[in-house]
Amino acid sequence: MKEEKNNMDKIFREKLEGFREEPPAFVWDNIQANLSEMRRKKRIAWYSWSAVAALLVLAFLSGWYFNETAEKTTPRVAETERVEPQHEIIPREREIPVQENETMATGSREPESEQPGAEKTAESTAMPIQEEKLPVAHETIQAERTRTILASAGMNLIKRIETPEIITKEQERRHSLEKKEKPLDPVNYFTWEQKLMDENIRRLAHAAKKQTGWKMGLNVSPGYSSYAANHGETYASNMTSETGDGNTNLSGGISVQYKTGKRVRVESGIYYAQNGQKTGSSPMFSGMRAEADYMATPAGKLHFNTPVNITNNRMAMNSTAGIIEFEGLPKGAEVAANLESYGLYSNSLLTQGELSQVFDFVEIPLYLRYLIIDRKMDVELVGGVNTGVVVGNNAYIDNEYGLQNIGKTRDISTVNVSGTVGLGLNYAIGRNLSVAVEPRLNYYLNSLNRNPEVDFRPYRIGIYTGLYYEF
Amino acid sequence: MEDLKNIIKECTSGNARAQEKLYRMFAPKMFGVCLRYAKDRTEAEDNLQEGFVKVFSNIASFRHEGSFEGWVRRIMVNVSLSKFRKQHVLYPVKDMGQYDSVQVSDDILAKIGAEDLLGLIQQLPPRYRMVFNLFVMEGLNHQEIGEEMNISVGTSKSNLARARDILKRKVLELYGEVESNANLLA
Repeated sequence: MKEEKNNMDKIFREKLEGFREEPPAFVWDNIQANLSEMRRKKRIAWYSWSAVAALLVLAFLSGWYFNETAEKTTPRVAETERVEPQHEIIPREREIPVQENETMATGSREPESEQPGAEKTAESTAMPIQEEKLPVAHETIQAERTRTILASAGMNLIKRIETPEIITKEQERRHSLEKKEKPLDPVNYFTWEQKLMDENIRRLAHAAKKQTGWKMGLNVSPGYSSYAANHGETYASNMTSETGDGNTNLSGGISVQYKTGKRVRVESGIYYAQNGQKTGSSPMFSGMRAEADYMATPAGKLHFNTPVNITNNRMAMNSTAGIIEFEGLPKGAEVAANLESYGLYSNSLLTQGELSQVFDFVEIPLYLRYLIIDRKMDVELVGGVNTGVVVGNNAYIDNEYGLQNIGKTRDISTVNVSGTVGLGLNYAIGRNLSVAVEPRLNYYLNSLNRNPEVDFRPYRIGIYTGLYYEF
Repeated sequence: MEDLKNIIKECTSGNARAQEKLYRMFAPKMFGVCLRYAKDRTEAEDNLQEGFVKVFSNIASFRHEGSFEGWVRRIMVNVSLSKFRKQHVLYPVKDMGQYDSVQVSDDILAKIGAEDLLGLIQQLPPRYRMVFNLFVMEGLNHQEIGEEMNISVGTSKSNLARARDILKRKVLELYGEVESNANLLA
């Protein structure tokens, strides 16, 4: 019997062991398709990870760069910068020990509760307090981390981020209270329905914790850009008159957001933006700057006349955002020799019209978004840093001959850092689609100009209007 | 042999041509393996496909210690087993029924072609098929089969006995009469 079995097994084994059959051709095709799909996914994963890594490196480098430039600029600039963070860091440091004290206080309450008699009441009060404290403590850690990240790149932001954190905590508490205030009417549900609903709620809550995902956005923003500027005395005495103002322009770009939690998102992307300054004509023909008093000017006609430095056949003029290097003599402009040696330069440029210095930026943002109100209309706080790469540097004169490109501004640093704060209003128009309106303020943290005599920091206020797709 | 080593190495770095070479080398044999474990050709094709995708995506973990064919085959068997686990919810029922065993002479078995034997195996109820394959073809003992399939040793034993019994009956049913007038069917 046993032998027979073994024999049967043996026959099966021998016959089938060597059995081969050519599989149909489509199997290989499917395998190939599968493998290339896997490769593609791997590549995408690799790309996105390296993109994230690159952004982090970029953010780090820009923070470092900003610190470096802050140290290099003139003491006057450094002074104002040093003062700011000191003001802001002090309350922050004070805040942390307070929180630690709170958690320590709850901790110290626990051993007391071990005393007999008071055990039950103390425990019942101590437990909920502890539960409430924990998330707060966790949040402060997160907020702390957020602050340190921001602090490494843009010190100016610390204060602005701090307040939203406080608001959101209150907001969250209110939410949880609302839920408790609305108990389900037990009469309307069967017990088994209640159980099912409880289970569903539990699952939903669990699923919500895991919420991560991507969001893509397309933005355009009309904006107004202006600047804050400071100049060295000698530079200023030979500069175009400062009746300057900002200009309106259009910026826009695409953004990618990664949801790291229910409320926090990290955003990056690529934006185009324009910043600059305009210097209007000045009726003043005098003073420290104008050296062309001899020129007869028709009354009421506005001219600007500025000392220019002509060396080696090149003409340069001090202006708000830095020294303009002329490509040639603009139409409708004249160069006059200064008769008296008022300033450093021996010549003056006279022309009608307006002078503008315009810089085009490609900005790569690294923003944190915090969801304050999670409704049909979401409200988010946005804050972060941009790496602004100057891709266009032009100076124009707008006079009776039209808008002329006259040259570019000297000493403009290519890579700059700006800080951004904003308030986003998101309105969901579908499952994945939402529209957003977002006022933002973007302020350059370093001077665009490397010249120590010029501190030029443009800022821009824009209303970003965009369409977002979540997936 | 050196050739295979090179091909494996090329496959590790994702060379598509090497992958195809490797596939051509092993696919027919592995298709045979998959056919034994599957209920039909479609399932076998699916398992072969899934198995080879696994082979190529895990080829870097092959340490050149055992035979490569054994490694590939193990993957195929595992794919078939996990498919089986997914498809058939296992009830740990002890299947210790006694069956009247029938006798089949080795001569009849010896005459049946491999393809027909394969057909017989495929017709077996899924769990019997799995146990029979693992025991007879892979040489696993009942302890190991029990662990692989999450069944008891007793169940494995009785399933094997039942598989053999069914196979014998089928053989008798289909080929039992053949002996006398073999010429007609040959």
